[in-house]
Parts: sequence; C-alpha cells; structure tokens
Amino acid sequence: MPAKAALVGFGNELHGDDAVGLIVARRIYDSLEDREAVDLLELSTSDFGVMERLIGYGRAVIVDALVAEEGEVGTVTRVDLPESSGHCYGSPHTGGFSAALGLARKLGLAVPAPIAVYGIAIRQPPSFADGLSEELAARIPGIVETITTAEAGWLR
Amino acid sequence: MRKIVIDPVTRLEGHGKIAIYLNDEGDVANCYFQIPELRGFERFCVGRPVEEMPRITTRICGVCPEAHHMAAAKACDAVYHVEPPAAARKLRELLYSAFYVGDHTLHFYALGGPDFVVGPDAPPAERNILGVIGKVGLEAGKKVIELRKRAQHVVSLIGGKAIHPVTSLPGGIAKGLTAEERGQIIEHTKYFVEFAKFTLGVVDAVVLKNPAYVDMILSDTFTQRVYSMGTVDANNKVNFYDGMIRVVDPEGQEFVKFHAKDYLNVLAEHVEPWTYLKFPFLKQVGWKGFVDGKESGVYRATPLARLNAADGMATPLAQEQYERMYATLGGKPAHYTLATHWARVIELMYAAERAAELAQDEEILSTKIRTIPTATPTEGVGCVEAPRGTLYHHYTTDERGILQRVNLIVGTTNNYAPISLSIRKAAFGLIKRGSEITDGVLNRIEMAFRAFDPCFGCATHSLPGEMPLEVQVFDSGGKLLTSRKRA
Amino acid sequence: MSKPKLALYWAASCGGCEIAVLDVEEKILDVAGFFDIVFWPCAMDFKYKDVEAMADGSIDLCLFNGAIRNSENEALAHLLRKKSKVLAAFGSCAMDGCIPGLANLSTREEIFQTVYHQTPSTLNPEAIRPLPRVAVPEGELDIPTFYESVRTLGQVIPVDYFIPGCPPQPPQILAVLSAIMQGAQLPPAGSVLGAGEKTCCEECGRTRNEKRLKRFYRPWEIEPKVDECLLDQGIVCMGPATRSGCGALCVKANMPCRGCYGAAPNVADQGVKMVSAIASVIDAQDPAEINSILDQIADPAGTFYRFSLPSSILYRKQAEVV
Repeated sequence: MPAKAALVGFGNELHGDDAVGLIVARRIYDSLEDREAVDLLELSTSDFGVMERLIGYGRAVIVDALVAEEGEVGTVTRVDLPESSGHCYGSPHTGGFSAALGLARKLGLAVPAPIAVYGIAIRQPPSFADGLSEELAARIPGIVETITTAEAGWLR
Repeated sequence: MRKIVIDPVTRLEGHGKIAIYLNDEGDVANCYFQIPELRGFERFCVGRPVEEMPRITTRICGVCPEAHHMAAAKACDAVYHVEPPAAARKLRELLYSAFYVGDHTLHFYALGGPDFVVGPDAPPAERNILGVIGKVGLEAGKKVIELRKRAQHVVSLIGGKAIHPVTSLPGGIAKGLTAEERGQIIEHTKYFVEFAKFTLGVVDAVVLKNPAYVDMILSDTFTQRVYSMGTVDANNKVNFYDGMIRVVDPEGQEFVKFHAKDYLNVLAEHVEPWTYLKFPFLKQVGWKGFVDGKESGVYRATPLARLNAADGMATPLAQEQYERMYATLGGKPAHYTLATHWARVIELMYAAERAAELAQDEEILSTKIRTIPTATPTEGVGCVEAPRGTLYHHYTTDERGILQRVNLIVGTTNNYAPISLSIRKAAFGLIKRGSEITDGVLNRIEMAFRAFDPCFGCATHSLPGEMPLEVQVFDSGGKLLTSRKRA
Repeated sequence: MSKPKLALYWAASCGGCEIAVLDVEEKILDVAGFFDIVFWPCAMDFKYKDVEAMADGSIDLCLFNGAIRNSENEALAHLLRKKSKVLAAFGSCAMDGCIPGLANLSTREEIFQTVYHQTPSTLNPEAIRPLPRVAVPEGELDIPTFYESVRTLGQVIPVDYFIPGCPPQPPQILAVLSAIMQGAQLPPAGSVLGAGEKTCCEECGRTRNEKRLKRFYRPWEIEPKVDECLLDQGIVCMGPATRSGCGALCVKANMPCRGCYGAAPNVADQGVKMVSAIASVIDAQDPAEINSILDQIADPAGTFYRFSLPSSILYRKQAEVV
C-alpha cells in the first residue's frame, strides 16, 4: 500500500496574517474529493516538531506564511526540497528545516519526497491580531486555486 | 545412553545448562556445559565512534562494568596513540581498586562463601548468605551492605555512575575530584582495609581451622593441572589495572610473558556447535579438547591463576597472606580449584591496600586529567584483569576513529574450558555405576563451577539462594525415569 | 494473610538492572520482607516449571528486564505474562531494546560471520557455528534460537508499566517499590513509572544559551566548560530528546547524555526528536555548509538511537520492508 501524503498548514492563529498557512491548507483539504490518501496536519509549533510529524509520509505539501516587506501580499512562492539538498527554505516557523531533512536522511529515516513548500507573502503582523487582514482574506480563494492546480497531479 | 539435564544453572550471568550422559553401565560418558546466550558486541560495535566504547561495552556486564570501561579506555588510548596524564591514570586505577573491593566481597559472602564457609554438606537452606551470617554473625551481613555502598560511592565519584561508569575518554578522564570528595574516599578506603582484614579472619577461623574443609580443598576431585594467566607489574607482582600478561605452565615455569598488543600470538578461540560461547586456549600449545596437563592449551584466568602467575603481591598485608596460602597448600603453583576463594580474599586485601595508597596520593587532586589526542587513530588493544579473568578489548578504526573491527576476549570466557573440565571431572568422579544421584553429588558439581565466580555473582542479602539444581534422568528413548530436585 | 508475590526475570541483559535492585542497599530487606519473591533466577532456585505450575495471574508484580533476543527470552515473556497480574518492562532493554538493540543495524548472519569466523582470535577451520540442535556422539543437545532482530518486551506481549533507565537508578526503583508497598494507587496501564515528566535538560543545571553552531566536536576533542550546556559547546548531547529521572548523572560528570532513560515524554521517536534538536542549532543557510557541519556528527544513527533502536520508527520501517 503506497504511503500517504501529508498536507501541512503552518501558522499561528493568534498572530493575524500568520495564520494564512493553516487557513489555506484547511480549505484545500476540505475541497478534496478523496481524503483517504491525504492527511491534514495543522502545526502551530515553533519548535522543530515538524520533522517528527513528517516521517513516514511518502510526499508532503507545506503551506506557510512568508514575511515580505515588498511585493504584493498573497503572492505564492514555491520551493521544492528534492532528495539532495537544493534550495534552503527558511520561514518564521521552520528555520533549520533543510538541516533537519538532511540529518533525517543520514539516519535512514523515511523522509517524504518530494516536499513542496508554498510560501504566501504577508506583512509582519502585529503581536496579537485576530483574523486575517482584509487584503489577504480577499486573496484566499486565488491562493487555494493556485496551489491546487500546481499539485493537480495527485491532489484532487 | 541416559541424559541428565541441569537447567538452568543459575548464578551465572544469563543462562547456562549442563547435560550429562550416562552409559549403560551408569558411568559418565560425557558432560557438556552449554551457554545459550549471544548478543553480538563484536559485530554491532562496528560503525560506532571508538570513544563511545567505554560506555557501550559496560553493557556486556552490569556486575563488572568497570572492567569493560577500563579495558575500553585503555584500548581507546592505544587507538589514538595518546598517553593520559598521570593523575588520570591514578584516578582510573583508584576507581578500579574500589570496584574490586566491592565485587570480590559480593562473591565471597553471597556466592562462593557459603560453599566455603558453611560447607558442602550443610543443608541447602543454610548454604547461602544467611548461613554465612549464621556462622560469622549478623554484623557481617551489615558490614557487607555497608562495604558495597562505600565501594559504589567511590565508583560514582570518579566514574559518574555506579552501574555503567561514563567518564573515561581517549587521553584521560572527564571528571576530577574535589578535596571534599577525596576526603570521603580516604575514609572509605580505611573501611575497605579493615573489612578485608575481617574477611581474612573469617577465612582463617571458619575454613582453615577446619581440617575437613582443608581436606576438601586439597582433594583430587577439585584439582586441575592447567596453565595459569595473570597480569603482573614490572616486579612481577599482581596488578589489576596494567602491566604485562604472564602465563606459567602447570609446574609453575614461566611459559610466556607478553604485552596486551601481542595477545594474538598467544591466544586463539575454539568453536563448538552446541554452545554460543567460544573457548579460548593457548595457541602455541594447541586445542587438545577438554583435558588438562601441560600438553593441553587450556588455561585458567582466576584469582588463583593470577597469584600463581605472579611472584607476589605489591602490598604488605596481601603479601603476608600470599605466602601463608602457598605454605598451607604445599607450594606454587596451586591447582586446587576451591582455593580460588582464598586467593580472592587475598586479592580483596590487595585491592583495599592499593585503593588506600592511591587515595593518599596528592596527584589525584590534579586538574590536569586530559591529554587531547592529535594523532590519527588506527588500532589498539586494552587489557585489564577483570575479577573473573584477563579481559582484552581490541579495536581497529578508520582515520576518523569509527570502528571497523572489534575483538573481545572476556574474563569468564577465558575460563569456559577449565570450568567445563571441572564440571566433567566432578561428574566423572562422583557419578559412578549404580550410585544414587544425591544432593551431595549436585552440590559438588556446583562447587566445581561456582569457585570460578562465573560473571554473575548476585544476592547481597537474605535470600535462600542455593544453586537450584534439578536432575532428571531420561532413558535413551527420552522417557523420564526419575526426577530429583534439590529441596 | 499471604504476602504479595514478586518475580524478577532477566532476558537478554547485562545484569545491571539486578545490581540496581540490590543497590537500594539496606532497603532491600524491607522489600524482601514485604514480598514473597517467587522467581528470580539470578538468586533463587525456582525453575521454569515452578512458574508453569503457578496459577495464572498469581504473581502480583513481575519486573522483567532484558530485551527479546532469542526463543528462550520470548518463551519466558509469554509465560510470565500469563502468570502475572501486573508486569513491568524494567529498564531500557525491556522497554526500548537498549544496547543489544544496536544489533538491529546489522543482521543475524553478519553477527554470526563476525563472531564465529572473522574475529582475529577465532580459529575455526571447519567453519563450525552454533546450531539450535546438534547431534553429539551421546545424543542431542539444544540451545535457544537466535532471532533475526532484537525486540522490546512490549513488541511481544502486552506490558502494564514501563520503568526506564540503563539501569533504572536505585532511588527511583525504591520510589516505585515503596509506593506499591504503601498501597498507593498505580497510574493507568501503559504509564511510565520511576521517571520524570520532562527532558534530561531540566535536571542538568548547566546554563543554556541556545547558541547556534558552525561545527560539532567529538567528546575527546575538547575540554568543555563545566557550567555551560554541552550542545551549546558543540558536543552532541541527547538531553533534549531524553526523559528526565536519572538526575543527569552523566552530564554532571562532564560527559554528554546518551539517552538511556528513553524518549522524552510526548515524543514517539527519540532519534527524530534529536534530529529536530540538532537542526535547530545549526548556524548556516547554505546547503553545502549545512551538510559539511552535519558530516561532523559521528554515527548519527548509533548515537541518536543508542538505547532505543528496536522501539524506533527506523527499526519498524526496516522491519516492514523486510
């Protein structure tokens, strides 16, 4: 039986736009016709618990916020983390993620491959804010569509 | 052919069983002592960083982890071509001496002692620590527990943990002693010396003054004329921590004296299909089977063997006893298996005196306890005297110090062949055609075995622990004829 | 009124857990006075057939130490489970596999090849190796079958409690036995007893500055400062992934923790947890630099899973593949 896929939403719901990864991942998951082969993981952690949660999955899609002072809010950037170390992906939540992947592979652990990371541009949110900014909230449907299309090969 | 199975033999690290075959006349045809255990350290340590070995190999044995820790530490020094500072060496030896005191005490009072102190014909219910206390007094029992507590404390102060010490590294030791800790250790060593004297007194009063016991010790049933192996210092005196390894033949002539790194010229291991443990033997003499004598490569590595292989003890009180023992036994070398218990107490005395010497040495307070290795690691052998026999750790690494090859010859393993011989001799001598298989027979077979202190000595306290033996006699068709269990 | 029955058994183990029980020192007399010890092969004369003859569930408490390496270990696990009301995996071997579990990085064949054919002192020209059943001139001899892999106790029978440590520290053993002797209510089945609810870092006492590292050091390479976190100084220390309860004895002796108390609470896999901990201290962004820093960690699998390989995701994954 093929290994399941992980759809991971990263974010902090007390931190305004920082919650976008969680919200988008949930929306994508809700829109799936077939959820048997996909698990939704909602991670609000800032320790490095993400690695433990990912071991054993065949592939993974991670949706996260990416703080950008310039450019349009809601822009989606995609980074692929292939077998050998390629791009280094850093985010408020997953700094050191590439290091963790490399080390997990050295141990012979079943690290998902491929791992596609989608960063959604936001402005630095204030300390405590409830809910998304209006600007970002308006972009959500488009973001969901972008990611679903990009992953159409397996995410239905 | 009838088969008698003694299973399990307990008071051995892990499990052991003895199978005795009787021919149609009722004489013993053969006797096999089987070890049903293997874990595979020589394989699964490959791939590990060599500096982890003082912490991994302690798990070969939780009763004598200190022995493996030290052999591994010395092997690591050798692999990295590094010399620890003098203070580190002394700290390691101090830990080791304290460990010896605790370990030999455990064996004498709880395991070997009952045979020796209470006697083989005593009822089984008395042949245990309670019987020993009955003979020598309740205070003795309390002293044993107190002694062990103090010995474990010394180990934990220098080694970090009492069971599975951790502090040795290639080039030294990770932790030194504060003045306060050293003061505590000095007090402990005073107790060790007094306790060793007390125990020698027990040997004297209860054993040596009893002619029947002396006869038993000197009897032929428990005699085996084999080679003796032990480590000696530059003056050919017994040393547990370091020196050259010396082997004397059954007549006491020096056969070979070698450095640990040359052990492969001297030792080889024989394999049998009915047991997981291998049989070390002297390569230059050869494996001639389970026989004793000068033509057989079987050797002993026990307290008695160490005393045979040396010219004396390095400390005064132990030396006095050494001379006395050989005078009583009729000279050197001594081949009386049961005299091993006495030799063990003489070693207890030496370990106590040595610990006291080291504790008083000012250098052990030095903070210079590490030499940082700079050479590329290659290969090395570390050897110490484990209480139960000479212990060899041989490591080969790559240039990063990752283990490529591991060879271990472990204390009790040295004695696997002579233990088998002892059991056979006891079985051959005591089970004769038409004889009833009595309790006494079982006891004596046990005694042949237990004197070697096979790796696991247990029970410091009040448990009715005689060695459990059950003898079942089957006919050649496998039908159970009689079954006898020691009460 | 009869005393509660206690059994202690050792499977593939070193005997350290037995010594740890004895190291409760004079308190052992209280334990021996409270319980009726009905089975303890290292010390007493009860045999397997005596256990077989006991009524099911008649042993009130069984402390089972040692890993499951061979057929005899497994047979005793099943037997003692049947005869015991409460059965605890006592010590790291029974709980997680411990040091014997490192054999799972190898195979049975490799082990036999090494031990019986390849070590330099082995003289075995006829390529003999031990067999479960052997014909000798007088009859047949048998020894237990050595399994392909080491398993934990919980992987062969249901276990009621887990008491971690290699060995469990004597004060912790005493705490558990005293609680039982005083009739305290035991926590729900499946709980860990005799240990803490935090990581080893909490007991350590060294200052943690959460430094980021450009390199790692092997323990022999430097003399670390005694007040500062070892991981901060570049020495791999399993503290962040390991359960508290031992008193951080190793670190207090200036040696890094190697994880003998098993995975920290709420952590399923000790090795994966350590991966996260290490990754979080790497000070590099460039992938090549990250890799070269990670390469300095000697033997990550054998270090991060030193005591817990049979209970790990890694072992189970391999087992599934095979």
